[in-house]
Amino acid sequence: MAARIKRREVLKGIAGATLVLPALEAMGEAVTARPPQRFCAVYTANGMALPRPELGIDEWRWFPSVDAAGQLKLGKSTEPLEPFRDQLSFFGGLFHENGPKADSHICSDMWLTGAPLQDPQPGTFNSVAIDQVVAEHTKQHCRQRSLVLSIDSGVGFMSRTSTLSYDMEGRPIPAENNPRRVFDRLFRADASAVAVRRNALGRQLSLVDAVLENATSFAKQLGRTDRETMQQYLASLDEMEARLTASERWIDTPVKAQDRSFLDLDASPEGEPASYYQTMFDLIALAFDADITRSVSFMLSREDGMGISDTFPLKLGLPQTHHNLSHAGDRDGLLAFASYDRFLSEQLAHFLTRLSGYRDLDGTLLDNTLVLYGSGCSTTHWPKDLPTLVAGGRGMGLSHGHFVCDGEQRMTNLYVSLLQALGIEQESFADSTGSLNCPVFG
Amino acid sequence: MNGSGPTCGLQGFASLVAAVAWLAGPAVAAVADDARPQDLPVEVAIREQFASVQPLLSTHCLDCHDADTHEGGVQFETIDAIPDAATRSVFQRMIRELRAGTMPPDDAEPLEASARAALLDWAEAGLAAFEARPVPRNGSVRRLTVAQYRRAIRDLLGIDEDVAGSMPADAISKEGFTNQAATLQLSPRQLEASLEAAERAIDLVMIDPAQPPAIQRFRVELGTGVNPQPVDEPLILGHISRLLPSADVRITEPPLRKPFSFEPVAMQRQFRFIEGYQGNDTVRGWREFSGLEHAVFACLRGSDGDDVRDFIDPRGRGYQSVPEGLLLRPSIPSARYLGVGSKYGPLPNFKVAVRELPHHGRFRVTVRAACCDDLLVVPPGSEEEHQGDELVASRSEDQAATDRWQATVAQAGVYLVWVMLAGVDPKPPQADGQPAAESHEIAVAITSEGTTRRVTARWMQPSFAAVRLPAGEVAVQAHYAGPETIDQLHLLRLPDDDPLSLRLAAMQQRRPWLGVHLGLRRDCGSTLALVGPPQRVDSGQLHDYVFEGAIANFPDPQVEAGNPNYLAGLREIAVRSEYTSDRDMPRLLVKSVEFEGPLYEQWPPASYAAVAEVPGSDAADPEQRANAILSTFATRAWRRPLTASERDGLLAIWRQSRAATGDERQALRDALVAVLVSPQFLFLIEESTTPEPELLDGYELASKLAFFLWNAPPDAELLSQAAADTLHAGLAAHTDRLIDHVRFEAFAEVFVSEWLRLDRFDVLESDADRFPRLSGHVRRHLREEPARLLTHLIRTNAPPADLVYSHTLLVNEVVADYYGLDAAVESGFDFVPVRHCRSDLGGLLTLPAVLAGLSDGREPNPVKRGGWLARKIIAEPPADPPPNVPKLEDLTQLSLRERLEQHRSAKGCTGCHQGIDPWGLPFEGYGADGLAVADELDAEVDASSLLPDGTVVDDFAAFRAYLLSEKIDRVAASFAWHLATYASGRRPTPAEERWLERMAAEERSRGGGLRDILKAIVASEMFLTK
Repeated sequence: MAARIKRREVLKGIAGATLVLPALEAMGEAVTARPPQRFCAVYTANGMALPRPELGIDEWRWFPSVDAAGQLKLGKSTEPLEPFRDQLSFFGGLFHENGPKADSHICSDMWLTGAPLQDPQPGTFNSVAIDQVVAEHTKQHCRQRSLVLSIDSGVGFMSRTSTLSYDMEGRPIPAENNPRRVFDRLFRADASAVAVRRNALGRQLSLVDAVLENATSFAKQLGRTDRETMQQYLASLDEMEARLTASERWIDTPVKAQDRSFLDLDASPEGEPASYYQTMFDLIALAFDADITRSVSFMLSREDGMGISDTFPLKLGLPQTHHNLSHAGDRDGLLAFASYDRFLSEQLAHFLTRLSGYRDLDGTLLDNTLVLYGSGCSTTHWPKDLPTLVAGGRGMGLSHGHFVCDGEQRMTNLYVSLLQALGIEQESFADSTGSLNCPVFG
Repeated sequence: MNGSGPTCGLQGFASLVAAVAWLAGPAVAAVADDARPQDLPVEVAIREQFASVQPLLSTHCLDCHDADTHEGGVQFETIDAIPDAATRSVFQRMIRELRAGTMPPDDAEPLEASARAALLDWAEAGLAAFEARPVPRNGSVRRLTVAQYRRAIRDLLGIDEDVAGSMPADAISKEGFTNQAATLQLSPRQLEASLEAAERAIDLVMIDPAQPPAIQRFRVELGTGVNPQPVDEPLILGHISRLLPSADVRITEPPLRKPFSFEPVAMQRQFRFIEGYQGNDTVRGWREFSGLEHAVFACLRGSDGDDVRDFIDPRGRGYQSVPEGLLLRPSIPSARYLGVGSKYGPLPNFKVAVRELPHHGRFRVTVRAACCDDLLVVPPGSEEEHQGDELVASRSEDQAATDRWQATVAQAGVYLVWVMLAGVDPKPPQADGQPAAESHEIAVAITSEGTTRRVTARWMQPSFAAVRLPAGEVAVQAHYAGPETIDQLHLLRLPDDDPLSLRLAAMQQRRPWLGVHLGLRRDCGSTLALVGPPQRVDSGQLHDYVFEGAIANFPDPQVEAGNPNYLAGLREIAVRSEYTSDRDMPRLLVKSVEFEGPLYEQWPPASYAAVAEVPGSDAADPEQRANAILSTFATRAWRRPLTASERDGLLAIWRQSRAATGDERQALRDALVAVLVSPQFLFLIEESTTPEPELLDGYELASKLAFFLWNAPPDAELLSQAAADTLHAGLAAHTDRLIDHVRFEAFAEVFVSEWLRLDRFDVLESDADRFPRLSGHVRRHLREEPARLLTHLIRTNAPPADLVYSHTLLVNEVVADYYGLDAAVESGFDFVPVRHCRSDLGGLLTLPAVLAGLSDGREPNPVKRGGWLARKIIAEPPADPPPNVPKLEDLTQLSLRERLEQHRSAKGCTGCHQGIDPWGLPFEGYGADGLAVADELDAEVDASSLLPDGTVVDDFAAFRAYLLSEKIDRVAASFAWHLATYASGRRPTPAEERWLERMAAEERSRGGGLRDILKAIVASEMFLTK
């Protein structure tokens, strides 16, 4: 309760004071200092194809090779990313220290958190995900603190999550999977008349405030009854109030004019996989361009054959489901698995192309966005040597075209490097031991 | 009573007297507050025991299981003598591995028998001590699931429209349930969605009663020549729109009578579009369109197999305009049955396309229809000798009508219409049963006693159709669409036992099922959803069949106003004779289709009156009015009476809003919204004042019962029982009422789906080539079957054994057809109990929704099936898989069974898979379509299995017999455990687990059934206390 009241006092007390000033600056047209810095995490389940050398299909390994001149050579499954060769880097040998200790299917739960899920404390779910740390630091600059997307909506369930994002308390954040709903969330404010919106917001604010007041006295009356859930309710109301206050501030700032006519909002996970993924990527790019949010997570597929994405390879004419493909040990099976990796690379290339197509204050969107792409296991639920790629961020000082592979390294060290590149002065994240020492981050 | 822990008083707990007596033990609570279980002598002894075995742990276990290495997720370095909730599973695993001798592993130093025994003694004692500890109870605050929230809003406000569409899906607990307190988190997003939903709901209900509603109504009449003023210009509705001829469709806006004043909606008749389609060409430029026929169309796109080259239904034309209306054959949902598919959906595909429909409220579609006294087109290839009294129809005397014949039928009965063309040999049908390409349609109309029977079909053979005729004069009219002429036409009397006579008689016993669907037109097809269940059309006379729904719950084209495309944003009302199987079905005659919406029986509507017109709402003082409305509403919404401070709190919101807006209606709306985002509405709250179990109060019990057994809030009856405080006393009777209520099906749907993991079936991508019969249509019905079956088993108090093997199936026509049941089920889409003698069916184990769901759509998966049986049916879950599962050798040349054996014996895999695979192998005789493989293939199936207890079963029947004899108490316990978890919204404590096992076994041995087990759970301390 103490924390809640404190935050509310801060919220109410700071009107016009120091904390708010940078936010007001950022809201206007003229953001002079530096372009917004954004983060987008993109996850695919079940790992990538890494055929053993004796199969003679090394060119289908997901990880690239480096030629004598130190030049990155992409394999066939990442070939679609060739145009971005000098704007991305690969990382080998990364893993979560807690990965091998936990259930092998739990890797998507911990991908962005690194939490010790093998030993959950009663009542806790996870720990905060890196995208939410970014959100916490960027939310005052944009309309929405983060955008949480996934192939399946909601949160799934522990160890078979359908969201990548966990809030500051480690609770899963329900993901959205419907392009039209995402679009409405992002852009529909455009359509409603400003006065009506302000009026509605004002009323909602006082309503939420009143409900909060009533609920607080109700919670007192409940005595010792299951305090935790009531606390959660009150904290959620409080957060809602904060969101409404933030929205109120945004009301007079129109959403950036953009061409959104190319969007295929009818695309759905039930339809054609490529058009679904590309529409979702289009929405992310538009959201970044309009500076609606600066933190996005997007789960392309779920672990262990959960959800509809498992059937995408079948839709593409491959012989097995995604999870089953990932278990292949033979040449043909791995070729099929790798060709799905290639399909995913094509989708990622679409995203990077979109990001490159938008001019930012300085450079392109891609230059000012960190795109993290990878999986929570390398292959067959093996939670080591996690396939990982970072694209973009030249504007944040990243230099690319590397394959960083320097023995085993903690994934969370990469996260520290990413946070620091985003200007978030954080020394550690989860079980990190430092930042990643590599040429990418200079 | 407290001293013996939570197991006491479980039996007969419902007795109010006992309960009150138990509550009256004040001394008990004081003891419990101070009691520290670790000070109990038994726990002290275990600590001493632990100290003596600790060296053994260090020597034999810590190499791999220290805090750093943590192999297999297990470490003993910081383990305590007695486990806690988190380390309980470590103890269980340790006991299992020590007993089985699987730990320490073979390559480690062996453990002496005495040391093993000492470790086991300690671990078992420690686990037992933990399980015996009393668990503090602090009441509970459990959020409504999204489904419960939806239902609560609907019951409370009397609106069918789903306002909870943007609510994030609920998390699923490890046990598979969405209603568990531990996983029902509340996020700000969830609360935002609740606020959105509450505002939408209140806005829908709190209309302005002074504003008369606008109501739309139109009628589409069907039949040859029904429209006296057909339009000359062909209408355009896109590529192959297949519109009914304008002369056969009449569109009107008939006046509507209502007992209140309203504004009739006159549909737009003048349109100006910038582009449209004509044929397959896009027409550019502005065009003017005028007339109601541009607002409403009757179309049959896809019905002739437009996108399926050469597809012809051999049973005759799918649709046919006749003077009486439009005749429709059953719409085949997926043409897979015929080896071809259509993207336009079921064939025939009759629907009314509409440019404008209301966006909110309920609507009604009224279809005037009858069952056709139909002819049976002789199926191709069954050209047998149909012997009988030959009756030569004589060509009409009227030479102008060369296609007319006349005859006198001396004896009523079945007649074969035999037609021979001049100079044409019958073309045998093609191998796939399709008529030869060069054959043309023949249309026959037979009139007797003033009734005309008509059929149009391809001419494939002289034996054309069978018809039942009364005695008397018969006029026959026949027309062949090809260049040839009809040479001979005979009516041949068929004996009553002729196969064709029997087939016609069987068809005439049947009745079509009328279904209405609403959706939208897409360029590549339609998106449609059923409006209520299909209705059986019993009569040969025309009757009105009424279908109602909430329009916002149906696919919406979401086109912005003023879209200039002629084809944009069209909604469709589809009318079908629903297909259930290939059995012959008389055609459905549709005379008219009428739409009305929004639908109001009164104004202001009942939903408004229920909130705003309550006792006291007519008071002169606005604040008194608000108080009356808010108190009544919140009492219903919160499922209990309000406290004074709660009432004041709501009134304060009203006052504040009125002061800010000056608008009383707005203020009332805000306060009503506040009721719906308050914790009292969003949560199921069981208030507790001590850590001791306390009896639920009447209102808490009413809600708990209703959300358990109906997945919905309590009804007025339950609440009045709560008010009178008679719920506890009459608990058994109230439970029975809830079980027998129609809403109990909502319980079964959620519980069965979550218990049996039917979500896997939902996302199954079945191999269409291999399993063509497992179409989307069939899957929808198979998905319903488990809930229907369990509802039936519980209601009839079937013994637990029926979960494993039941002689009653719950099927509808679609499912019966999928199973190939001999019994003729005539229930359409309705599920009915059917006795059966099939050894491959019956019970939960052989449900296709389960078995197909546990496959990858191509091949069955014994590992998934085994894991499912172990977890769900016998509740003996295998351990979680260890990390870093080693890769198996390349075993592709081995069979799956051999690979599994390899896997089971591989180091690291053994432990789990010995508890999984053996339970799945007996299902090997069932394919990925969930059906037993055909007899001729059966010989190749090896469904034998070595079960974990050493029993060998040879096939599925032996396995089922084993479950029934050796594991039946585990089955009963698993049912009870899952049910109790679902009922209480939390995992049972260890003590409760023991009680559930005991109770289920006792019920079973005394001949009790599933209903008894359910009622025992409801009457238990676990359910009744907080």
